[in-house]
Amino acid sequence: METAARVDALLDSVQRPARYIGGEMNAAAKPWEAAAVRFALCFPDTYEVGMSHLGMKILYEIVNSRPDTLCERIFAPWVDMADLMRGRGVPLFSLESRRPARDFDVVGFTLQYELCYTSVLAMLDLAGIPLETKDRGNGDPIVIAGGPCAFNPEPLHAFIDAFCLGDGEELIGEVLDAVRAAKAAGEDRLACLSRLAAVEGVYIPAFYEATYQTDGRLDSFEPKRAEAKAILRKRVVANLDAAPFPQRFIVPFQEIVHDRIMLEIMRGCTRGCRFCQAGMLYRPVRERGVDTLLSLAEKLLASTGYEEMSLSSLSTGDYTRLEALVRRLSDRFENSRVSLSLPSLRLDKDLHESLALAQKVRKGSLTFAPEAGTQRLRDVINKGVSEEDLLRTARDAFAAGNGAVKLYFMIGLPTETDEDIDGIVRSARLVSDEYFKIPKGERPRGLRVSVSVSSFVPKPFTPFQWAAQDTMERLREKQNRLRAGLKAVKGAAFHWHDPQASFLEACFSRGDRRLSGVLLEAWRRGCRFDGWSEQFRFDTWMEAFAACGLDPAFYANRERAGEELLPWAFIGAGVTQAYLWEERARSLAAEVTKDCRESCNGCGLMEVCFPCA
Amino acid sequence: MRMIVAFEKTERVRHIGHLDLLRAMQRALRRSGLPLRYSQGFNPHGMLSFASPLPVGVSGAEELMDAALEADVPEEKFRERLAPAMPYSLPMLRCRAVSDAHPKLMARLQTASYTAALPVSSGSEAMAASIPGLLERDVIWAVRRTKSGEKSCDIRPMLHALDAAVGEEAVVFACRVSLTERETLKPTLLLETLAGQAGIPWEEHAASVRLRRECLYGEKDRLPVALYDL
Repeated sequence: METAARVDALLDSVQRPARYIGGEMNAAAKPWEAAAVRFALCFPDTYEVGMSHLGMKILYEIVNSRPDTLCERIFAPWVDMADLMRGRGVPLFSLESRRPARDFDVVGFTLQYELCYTSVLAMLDLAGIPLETKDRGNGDPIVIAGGPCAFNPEPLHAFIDAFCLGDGEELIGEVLDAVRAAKAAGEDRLACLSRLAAVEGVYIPAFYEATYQTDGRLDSFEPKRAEAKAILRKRVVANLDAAPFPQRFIVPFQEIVHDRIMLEIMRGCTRGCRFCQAGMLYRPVRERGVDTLLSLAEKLLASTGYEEMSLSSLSTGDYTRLEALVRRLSDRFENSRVSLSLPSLRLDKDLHESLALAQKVRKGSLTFAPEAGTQRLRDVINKGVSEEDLLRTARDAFAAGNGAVKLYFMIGLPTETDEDIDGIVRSARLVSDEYFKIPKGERPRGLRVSVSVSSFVPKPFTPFQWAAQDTMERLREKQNRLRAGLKAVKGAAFHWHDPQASFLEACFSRGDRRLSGVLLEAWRRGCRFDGWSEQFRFDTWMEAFAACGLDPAFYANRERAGEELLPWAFIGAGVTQAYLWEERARSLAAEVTKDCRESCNGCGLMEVCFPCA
Repeated sequence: MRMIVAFEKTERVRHIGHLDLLRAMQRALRRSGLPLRYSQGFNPHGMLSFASPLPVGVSGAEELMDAALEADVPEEKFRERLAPAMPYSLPMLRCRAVSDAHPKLMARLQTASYTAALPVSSGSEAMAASIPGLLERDVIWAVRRTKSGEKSCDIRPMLHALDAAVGEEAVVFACRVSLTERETLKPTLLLETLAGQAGIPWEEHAASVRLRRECLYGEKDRLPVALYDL
């Protein structure tokens, strides 16, 4: 208990101490001694970010519901706390029992975005766990990682013992079984990793070797041990309706980013937007049944006391029984003062009725993501929405009494020209015009057209994985053009992303093994919390690249050829590389590919790992 | 009817701010399924109020809140429903049903008792030894720091009791001080003044003090009575 007291002594001197106190409603308190395997579930960002992540809640529930295991949470201590801990020699600790991270058998990270990688190193270092897998011994925890970034695990290959690919619901249990068996048999670290290598969907980077050509491209990638598979297939939960979902969420004391019940109604999306990694990685589409969701909603509301619930999925409008679901939820909870929100709605469906029902409960702003400003470019990226879809939905929103509209766009998409940039301004203007067409007195007060424009980052396992990212200079030019154009649009507010952060994200999203060295160098030079603009130190990152003799533009701004061996090619994500290349060709011809729920497009999922519904 | 609820804010969660605590209690009541009364209006909120907000960093042995109910609920049933709906770090202690006409807790609050633990040192022991000297004084000038600047005031009328127990590891000061809208003596200001009396630089101790509010008091026949019972 010594660590607990030492942690407690720090809390009077840090910002937002509630991040570190634990003790929330529904936090687990399993006895330490009784657990055969102890799992530290780590999120490499702050409490309020990590606690908003649904995957954490699902894994926490699954691991803690096993009688033989215990799961506790660890978040990245903010810089003030981290410095204080380092100064006083207080190790990284879990929130529940305030035990040192290194006392756990397995330390697992979820990797949601590339700019959290330095936080992984910072957490391992604070934990006193050797940073690199090659330096870890039998007494050290097994360090695992999963989440979307695990689909290109290579930049982290030096630090993570085992990566878990795909849906975690079943996989996590098999990983814990393997660790438990190795522990019970008194096996050494290598034997434990060999057991893990046998689990479908687990990648042990130390069991593989990569070589490079003189120009920096990957030359070969080969297993160097018998138990290492040549192709690693992602795991897929076949029946989402039967898959475990928590019946209670931890209810934080402090406000978190998504402070509400998130009801996952569906996983996967087959719209086939060509920029979207999640759309490719989480295939196939699987839905939870309306009855299951009603029952979950009821249990979650009773166990959390939350006053808000959001229907979560990649594309909520595609849920086949959305209207029935929204109607039944509204009826059931009409008198319970629960507000319902429907994020990730697309524009191309007549959702008037669902929206009207949701509006009955509480008004919020509506978000639409046309992603590109012209029909041509929307066809290139396969975002099958039209200008009329946008305007109709804006009209519906205004008619329903909602004056705040958020529009999401990207710049730097392949084939983009100034005309496409001007198209974004035009879209915002048309939405604004729709508002003013409604007679004064009838329209909702306070028009706000928020135009959020991110910079495109090419991602593995998308048809754009071969594409060059726009240079930072070009992205800035495009942002300036937008800023000038949007000034003239009534009610519009322009929000943009830092091109430097997008550039770094592009390096790591398609990075290879050599980036482990850059990451280590940048972390040693003081980079941390790179996703937080006030902490981001771009120049230090560039120094780290230079110190490693690597050119970041090689990763971000280089167009790859079709025959290039990609660092993530050994991962079977379901969708085949051949299909992605085909989609790339269609994209350049501005040809649209239909949602495969209408007819199979042959993405490869069928043959590789799973029969689509 | 209304229910007066006593709960503990344990030391572990002493850093929860007042608004966060209010939200935690709103949610606990929602979980309990008890018929909390809601305000009218666009954003209805449960009608819950506290006797006195607890500063961030201070734990509370018996904090009081007042919940307005839409329907009558027996005390025993209320306790059965609410206790399991509270986080273990904020355990419910007891509850007492009162009529809607019962005065607001805040209106009858007069004083509060606190304990303040300081690690044993020559400084904290000197402070303990200076208590009789401080209490002897008819007037105790202290410097209050407010937003509008520093202000000198006499804290003697707001100081009702003060003593200390020197233990193995800590010196525990116990005090009862005024806590009303009109006059409030913060226990930290009292300790700072006591340090001044002892000739000890308070800044060296301020960071290591661990505060706990022990009890909230009203007054009956000019004598302090626990607010919960009043």
